[in-house]
Amino acid sequence: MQLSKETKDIQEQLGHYCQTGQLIKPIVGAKLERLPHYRRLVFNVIKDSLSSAYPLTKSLIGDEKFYQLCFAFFSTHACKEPQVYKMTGEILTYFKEHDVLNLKSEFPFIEELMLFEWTEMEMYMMADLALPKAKKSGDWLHDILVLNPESRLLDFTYPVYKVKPNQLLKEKAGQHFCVAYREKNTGKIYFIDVSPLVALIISAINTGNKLHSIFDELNQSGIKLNEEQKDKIVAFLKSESSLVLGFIH
Amino acid sequence: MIDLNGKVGLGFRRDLSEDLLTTNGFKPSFVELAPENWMNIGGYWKKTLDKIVLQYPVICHGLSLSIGSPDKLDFAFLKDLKLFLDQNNVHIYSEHLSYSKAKNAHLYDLLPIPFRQDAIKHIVERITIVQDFLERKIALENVSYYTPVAAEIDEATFISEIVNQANCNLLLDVNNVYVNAFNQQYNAKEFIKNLPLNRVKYIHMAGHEKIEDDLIIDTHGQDIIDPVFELFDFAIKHLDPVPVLLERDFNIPQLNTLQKEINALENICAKNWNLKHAAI
Repeated sequence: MQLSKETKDIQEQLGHYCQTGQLIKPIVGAKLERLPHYRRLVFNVIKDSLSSAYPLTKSLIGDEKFYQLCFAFFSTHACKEPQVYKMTGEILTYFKEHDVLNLKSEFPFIEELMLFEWTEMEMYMMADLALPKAKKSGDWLHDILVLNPESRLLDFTYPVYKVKPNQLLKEKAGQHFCVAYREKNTGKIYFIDVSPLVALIISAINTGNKLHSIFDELNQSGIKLNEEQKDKIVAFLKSESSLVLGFIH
Repeated sequence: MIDLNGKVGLGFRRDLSEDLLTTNGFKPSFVELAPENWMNIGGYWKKTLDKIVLQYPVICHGLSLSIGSPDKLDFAFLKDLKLFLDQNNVHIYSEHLSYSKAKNAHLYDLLPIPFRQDAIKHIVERITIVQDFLERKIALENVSYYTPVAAEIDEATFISEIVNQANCNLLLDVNNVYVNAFNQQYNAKEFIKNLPLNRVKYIHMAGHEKIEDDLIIDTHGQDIIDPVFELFDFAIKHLDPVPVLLERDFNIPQLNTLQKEINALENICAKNWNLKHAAI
């Protein structure tokens, strides 16, 4: 490297100051009274981006705690992503390991709430996935059902995707499933609440199983569905035309 | 490839996408976008990007290359960048002569590089690598700064040495010259005359905000003030025609206000560059 150790150190000192607000020692040749503008401008990008990505979390814990969380994250975590919107996902990984404000004891669902918000953002922005070839008509029971590749089956302990954050404290821990998908024409992300049984079936469809085989396997494992229940499942799948894209005969 | 020299474009913001894609008479000659905001995306905004690329020539102005960084170059990022430029038919790619990453942490803003000889050598080496990798010349922008850091040489020499040694182009940000001349108390016109003007291939124009008696912040959030228009008029007298960009990132005004600024820039371009052509 052509850079001298001294110049490298100076650059890293300024970087460290912008990241943490802490000046280890005076930066050579810099007007000290001007440095806080850099810190402010850098931290504004972080605060604004995280506020846009996590509006529900911010509104739940309030501006002050939210900005403390942003500060704790940015000042101790080395952000890896060159794209700002992807940086906002890094706070989730950070938060799993560092609950410096002890937010999880006050809001046991907060990590899942943040995951829900990040999932929406990440799926909204993610690169397009090739649509598999599928026939528009077919047999719902005996053909392979083709699901939207831009969909995810999610499970939560708290129903963060359907209950307002300020009501979530009333919810007990449990098992909640939903399917998130990106609608092709609008690009909007939808979260559909599904029962554990439907979640199991969707998971099996995703691995290429036909519906009639899935029903048989459920039956063999002791989950006996009557015809009305099966019809309801088929009706649900039929109603979600942006989730079930077609058939492979 | 459409000749954009002497044409005036607009920085593309998502807030402006509907206006730019509808036929309401508002149509800058080209748009500039930050590849980092559009790389590796899909869905609604990818569709919007595709429409923009169909309707406008696109210039890219990057944010995360961090050419002056003490850290290693990020080749995974460069690979994505090259693909993006190629896929979207982008012929002009520029970046900032600054750094935004240190100790493997992205900082998401533009920090001033020490004006030093070792920094020049370091950056020249990196520009050469980047230009080879991207298989195109890049243009580097003179950035605004609010304090010099460990400077051993003057800013104009620092910039000139880098673009000359690296054989890259210069993006002349006229507002940044104005901001820096005010903040660091030097003569803006003398500064411009000391730059390698034969390497200027692109110009940025923007507004700024004076936040203290002796400090201006380069916000891109206000209208361009008359002294910056005057400096632009002065600068382009010394240049061959190049594309000119109006940057407006915040506090975006009504379209007619943006159009007036574009018209003002076009008039200054026409006055100087048409006369120059006529003389030739």
